[in-house]
Amino acid sequence: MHPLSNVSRRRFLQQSSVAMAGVALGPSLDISRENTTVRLPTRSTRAVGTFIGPVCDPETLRTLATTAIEAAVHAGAEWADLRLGDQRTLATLGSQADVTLRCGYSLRVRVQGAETIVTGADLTQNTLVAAARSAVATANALRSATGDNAMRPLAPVPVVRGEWHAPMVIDPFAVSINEHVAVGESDDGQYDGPLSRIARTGWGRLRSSWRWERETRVFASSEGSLVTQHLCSVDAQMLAYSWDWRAQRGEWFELAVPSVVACSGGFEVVVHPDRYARAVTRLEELLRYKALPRTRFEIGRQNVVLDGGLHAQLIGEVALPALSLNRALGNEIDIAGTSILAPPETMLGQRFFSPILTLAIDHSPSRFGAAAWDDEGVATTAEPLIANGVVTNYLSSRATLPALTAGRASGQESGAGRMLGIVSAELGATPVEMPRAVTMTSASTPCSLSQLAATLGTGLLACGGVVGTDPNGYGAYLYPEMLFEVRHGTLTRRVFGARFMVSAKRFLPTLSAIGDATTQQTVLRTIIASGVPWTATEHAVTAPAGLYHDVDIVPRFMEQA
Amino acid sequence: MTLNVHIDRHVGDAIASSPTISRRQLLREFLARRASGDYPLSDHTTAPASDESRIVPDPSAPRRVITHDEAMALAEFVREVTEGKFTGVAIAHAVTAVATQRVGNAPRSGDADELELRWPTRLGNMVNVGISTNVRDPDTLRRVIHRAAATKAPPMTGPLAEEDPDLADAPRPATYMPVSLWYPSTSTAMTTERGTALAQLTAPFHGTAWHGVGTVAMSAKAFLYLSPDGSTTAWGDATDAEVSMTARAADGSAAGWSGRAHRDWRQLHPADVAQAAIAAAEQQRNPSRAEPGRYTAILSATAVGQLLHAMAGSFNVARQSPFNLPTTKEVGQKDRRGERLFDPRVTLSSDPTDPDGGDWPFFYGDGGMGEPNPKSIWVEHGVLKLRSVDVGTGLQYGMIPRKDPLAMRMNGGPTSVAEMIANCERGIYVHRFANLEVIDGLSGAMSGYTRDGCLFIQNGKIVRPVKDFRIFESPFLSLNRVLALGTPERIAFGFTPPNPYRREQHWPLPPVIAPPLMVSDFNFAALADNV
Repeated sequence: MHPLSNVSRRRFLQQSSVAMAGVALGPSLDISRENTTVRLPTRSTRAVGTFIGPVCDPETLRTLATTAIEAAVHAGAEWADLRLGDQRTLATLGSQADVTLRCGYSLRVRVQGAETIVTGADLTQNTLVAAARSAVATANALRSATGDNAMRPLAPVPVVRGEWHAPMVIDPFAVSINEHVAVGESDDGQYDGPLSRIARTGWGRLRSSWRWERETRVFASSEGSLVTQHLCSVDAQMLAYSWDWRAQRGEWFELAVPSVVACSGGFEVVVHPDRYARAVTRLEELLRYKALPRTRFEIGRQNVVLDGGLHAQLIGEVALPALSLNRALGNEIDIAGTSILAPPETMLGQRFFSPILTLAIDHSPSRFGAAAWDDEGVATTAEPLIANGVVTNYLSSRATLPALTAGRASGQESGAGRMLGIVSAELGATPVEMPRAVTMTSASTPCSLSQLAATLGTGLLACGGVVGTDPNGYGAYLYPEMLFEVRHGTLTRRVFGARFMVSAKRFLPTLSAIGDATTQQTVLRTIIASGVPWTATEHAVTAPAGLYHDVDIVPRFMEQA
Repeated sequence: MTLNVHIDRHVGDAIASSPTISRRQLLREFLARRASGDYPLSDHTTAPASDESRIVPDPSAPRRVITHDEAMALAEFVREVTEGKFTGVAIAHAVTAVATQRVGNAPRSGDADELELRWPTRLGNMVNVGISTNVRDPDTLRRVIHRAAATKAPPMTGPLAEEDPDLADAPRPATYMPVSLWYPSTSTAMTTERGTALAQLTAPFHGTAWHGVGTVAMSAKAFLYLSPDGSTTAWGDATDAEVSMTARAADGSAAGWSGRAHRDWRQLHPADVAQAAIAAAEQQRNPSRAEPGRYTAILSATAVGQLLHAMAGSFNVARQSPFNLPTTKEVGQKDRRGERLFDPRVTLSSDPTDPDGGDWPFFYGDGGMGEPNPKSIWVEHGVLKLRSVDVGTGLQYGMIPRKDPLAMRMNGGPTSVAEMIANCERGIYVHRFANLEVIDGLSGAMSGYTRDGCLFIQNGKIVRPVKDFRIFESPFLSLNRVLALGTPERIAFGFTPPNPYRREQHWPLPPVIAPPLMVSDFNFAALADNV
């Protein structure tokens, strides 16, 4: 695929007249979509923000939002909500830095029993008004399909107005390019200092990449809500890797450094005091692994320990979609699929998972995607999803929650199954029932990865990798980045050519031990969630290492010997 | 620069190699061959004058995707505004309209509209300058284009950084084969028919105990490429539509799916789709488990189409593939073309003019810039004839570029599904698959799941429904164990999720026309829990 080259961009606001009276505006916003990227110079004392022009005025965004809502109501919408935002992303890798500029909106309307969503990237008054009218017209055209199907009312929520700023100490766009590059270059290579010994003997290196995302997002609804949030998240990754750079050959080994994670914040997250120490530890660990002899896998069933990274991938790929109420209710059987946790009225309050599994929405201010309100204008929540293996909540929205609570008999009001405030939407995309961050509780007693391996006895240890699943989430494939044979609690050999094939319903309850906080890792995942049309969301999953039983070991894609 | 290259000539020509030939000479020869190829005249050869007023779309027009005149005006505008050396302007517009409804619930719909302008500045070093927009305001476009053209390219090193003047000036034929991919009925239906179609899908479910969710999806696309001097244009527009329905028992114990796809909306009958889904679900009531193992498999047309779609990438010369010999280490080296690799009854082809589906007559999407895509017979009577190759690799190795056979037709046979079942002593009928993926490029082995249950066949009759399986099989081997073929039909894939790595595999997927198939010894490797 040809990479897009740099496209410089400056934003303007289109001059308007009547409806925008009293608001000083400049020339129109330029077109903006994915991959509008500015390649920054590799050296400069200027701050990053000086290369890309001023941030859009929040008052302007609010005005655009209210204009669109009014247009939708005027066109005949019974209800409407809108998310619009102006986003800039700074990505650095080594000495290279890019800024991506985007803006977008998503507008939902309900008209006479039909719901429509329109999305776009042009934040001008004319476009938003046209989008509102188009959405109402489309919804009207769907009325013939409603018949006697009355649209279930949305779950009631309080009207909210306000403004919120994500915790940020140092604005990454106010930092000079030289300082950003210095971070990357100091991580990369490291032929001086603690890693020089490693670099000479084992070809170990570090590589870090950082992606800051700052967004001014406005939510407005026909019920009167109007909130502005100034968000700032960072996706940080540091890899310890080993490869024979001189000969340009050999196996590639890499492990993520657990302390460098996706979170909310600014440039201050770069200067974590333990970052280098943990990175060195990880690199030494990697080189020990690399020294192990190599063996091919054997088909069969084994007990396995998944490190925090792979475990987080598994939870995010299998458990989270299953907890989507939209899927559990069967609304997505023709598109995204079903859920292993269906039907919700039966599964709620039942133990499906291992008793040591507790999973909750992460509500800490430093979590990835931190926000005061979700993308339906509901205050964000931190309810548990799974408590000691029991399903306590589903990921629900204002549209789906009434279906869950409507049929509940009296006496079942335990507080469970009434969670809102988790809906998220990427810029200019459909909102979906997927929180920005979830955390699986780690063991309260000390239990390192080595101790888990000792508990395992004989089996496999899997580190890193990805997980894939079928549309209904019943089966999953795990592709470990590195796989090791464990005998009597000790790593003996590296294993290649294998992946895991599991049945989610039978596999997840076999979790018998988890690691402590030292084994926790956070992964940032993009999941192509349901949506009409399809939309992808990004969320962070944190999980400790876990010991599972009876995993099918099957062939992976053929590797070069 | 002098390179050692192999000149790969296609069917009927001898494989030849030239130990020393200049790249410039090779390219001239290749371009001359391509220009004299099977490309009948089209009528899009003139470039109208740029007209800024025609850039902005007419909001009252019923057609939602850019017209030829609008695209030409936009392309001319971009060409005039853009400074510096480039190899043409490509404009791609895609509009999608989707609606879904669960029986008993209100419908939901969503639309997507993407207009993209792209022009490569230096084809040799793989740098593309492009913008993705849905704004066609001339002043805004002019500002953005100027900035895009003035932006410095990222630093590149090595041979690819050299600007190859021959590639940058590589002409394209002035003509493309005529195809019929656009149906006004579908374009109109995007605005007016979704509600009616959903009502037709859900109506058969009233009074039944089945849960049902139906989806109506429509697409309109347009593409135009304009050469630097305005002498060549590639223009095409296409519509496509798909209707699908899933019926499912309340307890999740049984399910059935049906789908239809056609470029012409008038050929789709949602009520029939709904009835078929209910009938399929009825057959799957109270499924039991069957012992995993190798069985004779009767694969529905949908299941066969899914396998063919998963096989398509293996035809590419640059991929690890069962079509390579153990000695095939590089593109251009001898592979298994000319060998009989499948049953003699198997023929696989791609024809942009196929009346049941068709495809763009040029490369579109995935960086394609209107390079012609010819008809191709990949496998003829079981013999491998052709491999696919992308434009860059084709130019480099002197091969005619051919798109991967994502749009494919497999020939059929005289046997109906009922006859296949009657002739089956012990086997399994598969409705469709899920999560097919190639896990071994050398053998083409795939893994995946069956979906919506299967039917167990014994002594010529369906005896009971059974639950799903994991499968582990290579269609490259299965197509050697063909027992019978049925009547081909265009299959529906459903409203599939996008492939983040290949835009060509965003919905709608290129048409696949496949027959139902009966094969022996299909590996139903293990049981699965899904329904």
